[in-house]
Amino acid sequence: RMERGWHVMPPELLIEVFAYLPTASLVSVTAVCSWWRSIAREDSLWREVFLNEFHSFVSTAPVCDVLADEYGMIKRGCPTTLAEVVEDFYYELNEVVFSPQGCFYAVAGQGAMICVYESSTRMLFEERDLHNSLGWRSVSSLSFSPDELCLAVRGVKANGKEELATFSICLVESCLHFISRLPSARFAPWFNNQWILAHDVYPMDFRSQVIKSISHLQLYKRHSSKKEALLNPRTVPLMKVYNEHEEIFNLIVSPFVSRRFRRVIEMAKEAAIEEKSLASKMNELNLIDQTVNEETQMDKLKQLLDREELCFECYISRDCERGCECKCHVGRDESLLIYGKHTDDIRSRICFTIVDLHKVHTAIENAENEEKEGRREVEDPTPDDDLYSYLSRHTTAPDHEITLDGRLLHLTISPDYKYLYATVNMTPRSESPLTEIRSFDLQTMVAERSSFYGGLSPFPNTTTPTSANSAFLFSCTEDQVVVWSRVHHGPSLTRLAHPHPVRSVAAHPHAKLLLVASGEQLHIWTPAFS
Amino acid sequence: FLFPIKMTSPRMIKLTSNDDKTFEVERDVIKQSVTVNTLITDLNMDDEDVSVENQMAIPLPNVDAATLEMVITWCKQHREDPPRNEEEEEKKEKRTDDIPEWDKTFLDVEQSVLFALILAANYMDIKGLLDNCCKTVANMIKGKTPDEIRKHFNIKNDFTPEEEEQIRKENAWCED
Repeated sequence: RMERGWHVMPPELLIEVFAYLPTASLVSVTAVCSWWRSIAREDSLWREVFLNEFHSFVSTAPVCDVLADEYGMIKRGCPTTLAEVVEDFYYELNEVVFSPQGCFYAVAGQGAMICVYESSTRMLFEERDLHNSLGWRSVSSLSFSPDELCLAVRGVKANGKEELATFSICLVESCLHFISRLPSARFAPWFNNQWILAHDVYPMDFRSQVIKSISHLQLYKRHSSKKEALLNPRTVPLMKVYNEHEEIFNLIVSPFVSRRFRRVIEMAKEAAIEEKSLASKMNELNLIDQTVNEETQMDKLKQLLDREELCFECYISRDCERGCECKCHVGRDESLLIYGKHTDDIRSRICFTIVDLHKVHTAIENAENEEKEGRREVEDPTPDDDLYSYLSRHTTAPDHEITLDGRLLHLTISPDYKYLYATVNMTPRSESPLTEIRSFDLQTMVAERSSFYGGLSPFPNTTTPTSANSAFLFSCTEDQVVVWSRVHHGPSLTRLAHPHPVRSVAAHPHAKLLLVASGEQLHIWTPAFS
Repeated sequence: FLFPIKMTSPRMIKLTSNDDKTFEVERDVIKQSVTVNTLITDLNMDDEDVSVENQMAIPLPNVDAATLEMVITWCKQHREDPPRNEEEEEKKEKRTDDIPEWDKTFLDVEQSVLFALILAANYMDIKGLLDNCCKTVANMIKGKTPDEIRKHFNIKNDFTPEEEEQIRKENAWCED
């Protein structure tokens, strides 16, 4: 005769019972006894919880092995407690950013003020008044170099012209050292530790209805000292991009290029040279197995393209062994350049270009040699017959474009460079005013199925910057910061209210820390339970 | 010629509990138990023209007499229920506030009785009874702290103090 009692109830019956419980009770049940705990943590129960809360379900728990833990992680990690309000400022704050590894954060405020802090202690490193020191009217953006030893500040001079200033961060003296100021730069992300990517716009010479202007992308050298900056102010042209409407914006440089994307681009380039279509090129390479159905074909193709051990060239030759010394096996050095572009008033595109760092380095070396030898670059003597020949010879078209059905307001990339978030305003195209955030998986270059939604204020709140870490996505609307689960999308998890309009949010790349610039205050949020 | 008169009285089925008590129940009532119904069909008992006295009793080795009596009472009450569509049931929102009044009173019994009923409903595969039992138990768990749940169901806390502290920390986000 079996022992009677609830603590030995058969698992399938306990699951039946627990399936009727609200989430809070399900959590209580996990603390009753070990048998009930093991049943209450069954994935099948939590799948329902996820479906109810996020309206969709990610089939494999991407962060935790057990869904119950995944859910707890989302709830525990969500920064819902206001840990500190920094009120040391006598000016409105415009921007707050973390350094790439999260060691520092910096704020910029009205009157060209900047403050740099150390993250772990939240101690002020230094406050600088750039109005006094550089004669600036305002600061428009801040960015730390990848190695976190340098801070680039973009601002507007008294005469209205834009300028870029760099400061080195001195850990020994806990202060900033001014290094250099560089001319006009509209978006200036760090290209790598040595170079800053800058962008100047020149109106088009041709009387063209199609092309309005040309953007010149160039690299500014990062200097190690003020003296070097004065003696050797270096710039290297990187590429030119044409603008059909407004100029390109929101430049992002990512050190990560997914294999699949790179291989498709390589294949397309090769096909173009041979004047074939991509499909016929794939057929020729026997990449498509006609004996299986279409879906399996696609899966097989994706697997081939994602394959780690073979580079594309080796894949084509099919006889490449490990230990091969071709450039692909020796290691590739590429960056992905991402930027936004407005096609017209209501539609935008996200453009992707793969930048080969070897070529960039060669260009830099050539420039250096020319400089030494006092040679000037000889202009191409071939005349440009028409607009198109000019464009094809002088500008670089993006390798890939994603067309959006709304106006792109802002682009941001996750700290691991795997996801791209686009804030898109749909107002001009839809009946209801709507701003939503779409995410793109940069490993596959496709949009993730569900978007993040739930009450982002519509146009004209154009400066809705977003910030993300591995678990959450943050954005702001008026005086609130909206928090989503990065993995599970759907409606927002919570909204954090602030006393003044929120101008900027910054999430620590891996620690659970959120900074919010609101009015003259910096709000620091942490999870309620750590 | 006179044709043999068809039996007008309802067909009866015999069930035996694990403590050897035999119950007679109408065929139409017990069809709600999928287990019993399948057995009747499989054994072709519907075709046999045998009187109740000579009929083989169906043994239910997992159910005692008191529980079986309750199950039969429930089945009699619910004999007119429309047949369940399990696919529809799956799609429905899980809620516990839709237990019929009669069932609420019927299931307002001691813990041990309710426990036995759940096991019996599961064994005899009576979905309607099982659902309402589970909902009743879920209602007992709702809104209680782990300690209150243990007291209510007489469950021993078998966590070590360290484990308990760890779980408390993990679940802290949920307490408000």
